[in-house]
Amino acid sequence: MRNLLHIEQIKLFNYNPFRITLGLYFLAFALGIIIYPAIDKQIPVISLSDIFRFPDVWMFLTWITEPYNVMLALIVIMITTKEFNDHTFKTQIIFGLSRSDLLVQKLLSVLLLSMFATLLVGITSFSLGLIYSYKLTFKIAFENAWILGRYFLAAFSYMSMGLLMALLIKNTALSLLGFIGLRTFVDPVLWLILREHEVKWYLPFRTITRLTPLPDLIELFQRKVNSSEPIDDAALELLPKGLPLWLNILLVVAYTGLALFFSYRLLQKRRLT
Amino acid sequence: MSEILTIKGLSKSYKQVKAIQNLNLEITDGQAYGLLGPNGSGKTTTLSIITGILRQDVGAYTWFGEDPRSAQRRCIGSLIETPHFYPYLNLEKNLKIICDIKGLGYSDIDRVLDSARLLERKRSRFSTMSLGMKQRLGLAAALLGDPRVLVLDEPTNGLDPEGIAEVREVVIDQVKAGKTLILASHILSEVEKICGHVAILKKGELLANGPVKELLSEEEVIEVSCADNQKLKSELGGSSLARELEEENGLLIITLKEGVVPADINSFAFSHQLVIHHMLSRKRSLESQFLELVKEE
Repeated sequence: MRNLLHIEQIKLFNYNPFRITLGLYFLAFALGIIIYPAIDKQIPVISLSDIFRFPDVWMFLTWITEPYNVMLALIVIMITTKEFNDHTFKTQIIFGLSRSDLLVQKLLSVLLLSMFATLLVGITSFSLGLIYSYKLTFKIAFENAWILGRYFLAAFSYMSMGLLMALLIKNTALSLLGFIGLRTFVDPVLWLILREHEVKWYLPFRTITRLTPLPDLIELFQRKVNSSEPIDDAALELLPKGLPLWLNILLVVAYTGLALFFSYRLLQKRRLT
Repeated sequence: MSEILTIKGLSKSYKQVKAIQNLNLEITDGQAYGLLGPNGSGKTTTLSIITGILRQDVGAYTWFGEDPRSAQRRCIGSLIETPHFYPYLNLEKNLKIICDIKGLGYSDIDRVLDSARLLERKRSRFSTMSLGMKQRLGLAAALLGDPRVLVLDEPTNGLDPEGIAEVREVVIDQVKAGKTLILASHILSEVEKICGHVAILKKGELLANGPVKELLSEEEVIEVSCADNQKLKSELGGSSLARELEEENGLLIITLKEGVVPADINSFAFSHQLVIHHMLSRKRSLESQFLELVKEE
């Protein structure tokens, strides 16, 4: 396992497209953090910097940065299809790796990138929380930090889907287009088509996105104005709905498991020449 | 002699094309085995199956007397077709990956790069290498960790004459050191120089298999010349000495029947008032044997 990790490390850190995409990820991440407080000045009543306070910062930052996981999935697609293009899967088999090792190798990359993304969001959320919060206790600071677990699952799931796409199509450009197409076109179109049906909540990418939903702004507003009045039903209609959280998590785990199972089957069956 | 590779009833097809059919081979420790055959005969398919790249349709093979496992391939140095490495990595990093796969330290890298005359280029990217250099790197990678068995598919492919001689020298050294070698090559003279055993394949079928000496010494061929070649040919045609008679550039080429020696031909000619003034034993080369076998089928 350590050797597999070291092999991936040599491959990744010397691969320019990986470094560039990771750089872009950092840039997009930083811009996201800078842009939101800038918008803040334009909006009265709810100051957007309020959401950078504990405990809301955890919810809000995971929601803002969730789409960036797509970039990490693109990295996984690039590093996997590159192995097909360069016939290096074949070389690794010849010298003694099994086909399962090849999958484990890529899963280690997925796992590390998921951990890296989660850590980055965690550290940024914590730092912003420290900067913007007026009242700071341990309980308040870490009240919503558990959402990082869901963020990790979302990142892992995105990249697992990317891995499946790469192993299925093998061609870099087509795999990237396929993944972006599914995420930004097919999924929203299906959502619109199925908008009257409950099944829309079961769409794979929708379930992943729902792991880190838009924070409850109504509740935030209520806290902000210190209102003790309950929020009326009309306002509650604006709150995000969907499947119960446990079912949503279960679905994401199931979709990820299926993606990994089919990835395994593809690697076992595929001719690696 | 312990068993290294045993192939039993191996078959592989690509849609309608039968790449190999019911192949049986047994290679023991220390043997240098040549795999010969024209293009499309199934050599690379066979080597691809035994190195885990392809899966057979029917049949089985064992390495070191055991069912194939990926761990066994770590004791085998292989070079199959054109070597493929990470183009954006330098030679050293590419070999580090192979060391990691094989569970070796990095101390052997300089030695194998030096033996492949690539030590000075160890910080150069693989993508900047010529075909010959890539081939030499492939051989260097195969030699990492001093493996017990070498599986080489056209190792001199793309090399200049000097490179061919160097690779041949490296391979011969490995054979002399007692390593088991499985070598597929188009260059028959090369196989003849290196290998003690050969298997000849055509259209996926095994035509001949055994020690090179046995394959070559089945029958003896001599070339003779006398005052009347036509007469000698017709007299020999009615005798029980020659299996085949051919004329070639004013010489009579005689394939002797089993047990007949060149002196018998001389005595026979003399008894028929014919004086032989030229007689030469023609050594059958592996190439002529190979061409004959392939043509016969």
